[in-house]
Amino acid sequence: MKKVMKKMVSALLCIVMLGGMLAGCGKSDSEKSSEGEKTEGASLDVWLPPLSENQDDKDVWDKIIDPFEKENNCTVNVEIVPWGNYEEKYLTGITSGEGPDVGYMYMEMISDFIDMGAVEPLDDYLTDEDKDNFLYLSNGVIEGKQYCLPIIVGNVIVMCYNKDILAKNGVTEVPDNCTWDEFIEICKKIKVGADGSTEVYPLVQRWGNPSISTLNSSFYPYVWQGGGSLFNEEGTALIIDSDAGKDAVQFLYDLRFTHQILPDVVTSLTADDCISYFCEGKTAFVEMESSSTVQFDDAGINWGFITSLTKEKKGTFVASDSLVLMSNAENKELAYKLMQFMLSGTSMTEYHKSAQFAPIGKDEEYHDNPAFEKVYAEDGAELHSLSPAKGSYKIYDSLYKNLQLMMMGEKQPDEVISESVSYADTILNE
Amino acid sequence: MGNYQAVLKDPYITSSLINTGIYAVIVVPVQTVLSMVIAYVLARKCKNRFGNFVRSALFIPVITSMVLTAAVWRLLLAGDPEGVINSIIGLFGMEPVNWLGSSWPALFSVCLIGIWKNVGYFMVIFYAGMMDIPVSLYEAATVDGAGSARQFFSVTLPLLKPITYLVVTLGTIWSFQVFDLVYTLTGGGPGRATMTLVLTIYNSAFKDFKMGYASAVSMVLLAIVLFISFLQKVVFRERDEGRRKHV
Repeated sequence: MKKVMKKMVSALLCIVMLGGMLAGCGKSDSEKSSEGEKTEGASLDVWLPPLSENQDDKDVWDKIIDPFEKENNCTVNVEIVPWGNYEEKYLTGITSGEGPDVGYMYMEMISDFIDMGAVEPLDDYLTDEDKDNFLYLSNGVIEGKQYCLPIIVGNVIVMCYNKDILAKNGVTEVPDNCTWDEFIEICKKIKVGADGSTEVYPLVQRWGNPSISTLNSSFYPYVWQGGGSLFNEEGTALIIDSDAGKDAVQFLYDLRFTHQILPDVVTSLTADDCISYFCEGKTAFVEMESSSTVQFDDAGINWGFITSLTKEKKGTFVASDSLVLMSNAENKELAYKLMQFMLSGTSMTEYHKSAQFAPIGKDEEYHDNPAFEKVYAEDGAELHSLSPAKGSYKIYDSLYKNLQLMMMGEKQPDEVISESVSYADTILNE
Repeated sequence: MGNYQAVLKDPYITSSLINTGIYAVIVVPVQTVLSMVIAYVLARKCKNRFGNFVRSALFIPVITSMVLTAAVWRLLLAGDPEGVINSIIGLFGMEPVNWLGSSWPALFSVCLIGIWKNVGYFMVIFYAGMMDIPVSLYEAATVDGAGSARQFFSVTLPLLKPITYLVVTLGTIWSFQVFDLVYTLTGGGPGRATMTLVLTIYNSAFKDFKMGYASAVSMVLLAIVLFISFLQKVVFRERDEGRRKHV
């Protein structure tokens, strides 16, 4: 009896599995209907990253693009590529000929794809209207050619502070143009938390992050504040051995060892840890992306911010990601038209309802967090994004690892600079 | 050829190779001995429901997603005094350790998690091998007056030799292939403390788009793994032949 039961259960399971497999082979209703309507038109593939606050990027973009599809009798397939393997997906997709027609790239990755011949210059497609409307077109000029159209310019990194902790330690305000020296003096006053008893760190940074994005918040801004830049104008040399670069590295070293403002634990902290520390009132200052500050409000923290510290001038990082036209796009005219449509004021207004970023064109009003409007309005000139350079990932990675070693006390500032510059020379001269 | 020359000159490859070697030297012996001892205790002393439960519990890390594993261990290994493991060692009067923020503790932490993840898998293999050993051998050993330790070294261990060879070989190959753990937990940092060969290959291929260079490093890795596997085979065979001659 038991054997018969076993056989029956096995047979039932097989049927269920077979049914599942066959169901997987079928097409969903939406696929069937869309095919029925649009098989005669062209088809465009667009790869975008997840940026929506509700993780519904595909739905949002499908809705935005729907009028474009109807107007041009085409199908636009939007694929959301997770950040985890973003570059890997692009590389394997493009080399296998299965890449998108329109892509979304950030500055660290774009040079290598241009070098591979995978990205098309847009100079011949740009209209006078585009040139007049888009605010950050110059960010997309690489080696004298317009390779990209910025789609996300925002998520600026600002210096946030906990007002209650500062008040408890006798600091009444953080000046808008707070200099490095003033900042050190303020940090030295921080001894107790907002409740007056708990120990608190003056500042935490994310030197335990597995990715090199820590440099965006905790290194590049200090180079820019000193009036320096990372690469020379031609993009052929890393120039952190300039006075500004040396000062930036020395400033970090002093924060960590000379003034002991940064605690030992910073070498193991990630961005999420820094957010938690700030939300739990365990640190007075933190460098943070504007999009993450919503968590400070949720945690009920009484916080404020300044755009950045000041040395020669202010300077901080702003993300500048772009849409690119891929060289293997079969219908480049239509693909560019789609890019224009996606970047138009109407589309961006709709998109920024679910992913808050600053406007990228004159035809859109400001929809980002109102708290940061003044950053873009008053300090717009002090917002920097990375300049593209060949092999930049490896160079930034080497710089990051050397800075990590310095923060652990295993390297001196001059060693960090000389080793990073010499490694960059090797890469750039390959 | 240029890629191979570049590999030999690259100082970061040397440090990745050293880290991978240290990882293998720590992880392989510890996980082999630990899984064998646990399997022995479960097979000989705990053949009951509790033993079944322990066996299942130890296998859970094997099937757990590495991303999840890394996230949980990152919490446990938090470097501040309130971190879970730091709180535990604090009970014994020890100073908090910046586990993932200092070079040696970070590498040690990666080894620890590697062992935790693999022990369950190798324990099951050893357990299956031990169940194949005839009970009559243990009965005969008991009649001859052999205690538990003597039985383990004179009966269990020699008869598990093929299994041990398999476990050591697999463990070594896996150790040289370690990637997902460091990728998700430390990204090779802090500094280059946990950078491994496979992570270097991944970064070269998919972050720096140097496919030729990544292939050259892969071939070096293949050569190393082949050499070690060959060495292990020779060592195990020589011992086996030595015993046969002795008999």
